[in-house]
Amino acid sequence: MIKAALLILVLAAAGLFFWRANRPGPENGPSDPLPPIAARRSNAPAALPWVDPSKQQASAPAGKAAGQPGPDAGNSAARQAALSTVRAADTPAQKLALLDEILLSRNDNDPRLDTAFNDLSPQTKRLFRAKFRQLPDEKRNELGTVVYLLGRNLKTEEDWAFMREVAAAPPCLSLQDCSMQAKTEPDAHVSAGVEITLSYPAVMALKRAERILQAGPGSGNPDAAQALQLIAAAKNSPSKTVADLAANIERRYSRP
Amino acid sequence: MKGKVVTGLIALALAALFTAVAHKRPYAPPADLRDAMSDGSALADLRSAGPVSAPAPVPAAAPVPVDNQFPGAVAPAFDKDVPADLQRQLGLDLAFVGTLSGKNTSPLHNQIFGQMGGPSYLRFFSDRIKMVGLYDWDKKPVVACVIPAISPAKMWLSGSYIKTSQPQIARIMIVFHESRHSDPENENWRHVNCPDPFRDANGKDMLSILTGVPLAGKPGCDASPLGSYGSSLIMLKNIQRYCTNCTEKVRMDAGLYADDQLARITDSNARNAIRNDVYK
Repeated sequence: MIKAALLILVLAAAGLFFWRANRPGPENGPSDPLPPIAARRSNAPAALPWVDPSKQQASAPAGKAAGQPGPDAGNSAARQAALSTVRAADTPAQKLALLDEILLSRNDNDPRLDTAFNDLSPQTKRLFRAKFRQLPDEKRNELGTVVYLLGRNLKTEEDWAFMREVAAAPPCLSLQDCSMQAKTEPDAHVSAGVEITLSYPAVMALKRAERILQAGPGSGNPDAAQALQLIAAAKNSPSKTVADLAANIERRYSRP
Repeated sequence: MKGKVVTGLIALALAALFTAVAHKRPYAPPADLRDAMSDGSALADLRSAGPVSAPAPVPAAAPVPVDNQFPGAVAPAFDKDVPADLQRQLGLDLAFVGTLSGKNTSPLHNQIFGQMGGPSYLRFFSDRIKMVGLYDWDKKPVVACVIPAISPAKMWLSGSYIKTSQPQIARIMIVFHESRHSDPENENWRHVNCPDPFRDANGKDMLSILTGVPLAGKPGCDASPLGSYGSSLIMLKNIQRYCTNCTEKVRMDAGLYADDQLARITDSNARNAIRNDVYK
């Protein structure tokens, strides 16, 4: 009888221990959107626009190089924090988790976009390409962000083939549903900027090609030929925005 | 005696178990967008917003609760039917722009916003927009608008502001474009009709991407560098060129969307003024 009671007691203690070890934190439940990264790292409240700017910390952006004084000091701290995270997150799965976290935050000024995705391994790039294919077409910014990051890591033919595929992809017809054009009354005012967003992944691929061509053609720029191939593929895009942008870039950077 | 000890141990164990179960935090999700979308309630909110084309009674304002945490802060008031997620996203986007700092400022930027940086942008917004309402997307697919005839200090946002996926810079561009319409000058910087024909640099007709309808002759252009298209272009171009704490993506996005807006400045003098200001 005593043994049974002791067993129950041990089980109860184990239950308590397990609960304490696994309970969610006081701030962020599993469904809560993530606050800006710098704000979370500094344990400060999420930065809000109506805060007195003089008292407000940088909510997310990258800062100057570490050690520089001045108003960007908080940003430097954020960058340092971001760099420390980079060291921790270096497996493909961790990189993907980090990418997911940033995409979920909808914070394009997360400094880790600049620091955590450089020199991606082939495995990580494969994971990112798979992520790209899993995302719904309507996730224009997320898709474009993945292309943007992969574009910073172009090394193999496989990498370039993916970029060409993105550049020549069928256009997204509306932000609500890529498969169908919006049925609306004409309104010239409402469509500002939408063209870029609808073509955003392909535009990201093209901008990377443009960046490569800016370094100049020739033997000193071994990726220039690949970049021109990408642009040639984009010129055939059914998207007018993409085709026009490709034509403009080609006009500027092609050899006479 | 032995029985009492056993009974006591069992009671203690049961109490410990009860405590563990009773205090386990429930995984109750907040009322965020994805939840609202999954059960359709966000759409229902939008549909119930009612028309906005006619002067309608303005719903009672519901101040943003977080405002109380920040003394001296300036926050827009939100109509009661503006979903919390929409309020939050606007807050996060303005927080993002509020942290920007720059090493330089173009003359036109200085004229419109002041020195480049978060305080200037927040002041520009908060001086103009005092209230935010919910726009009925089903009526017209606009992400945001200011309707001066109803209230120049009120911005209407549709659920599309959070339901569609856009770069953060694109949302900011929309918000500041609409904020400019709040100004009384030049009939709230009313747009002019685009020229007819209206063609891009490649000689092709400029089309509304939403409908494929040519923009020629439609009121979607500006003749001034200081209007809604021009001011948001100048803001973005300054971010692209001078922001010292932006990611490369933000700067690239800012350049992309700014360049796209330039096509809407149809007056040659206005275009030249902008070119001299931020493109030279």
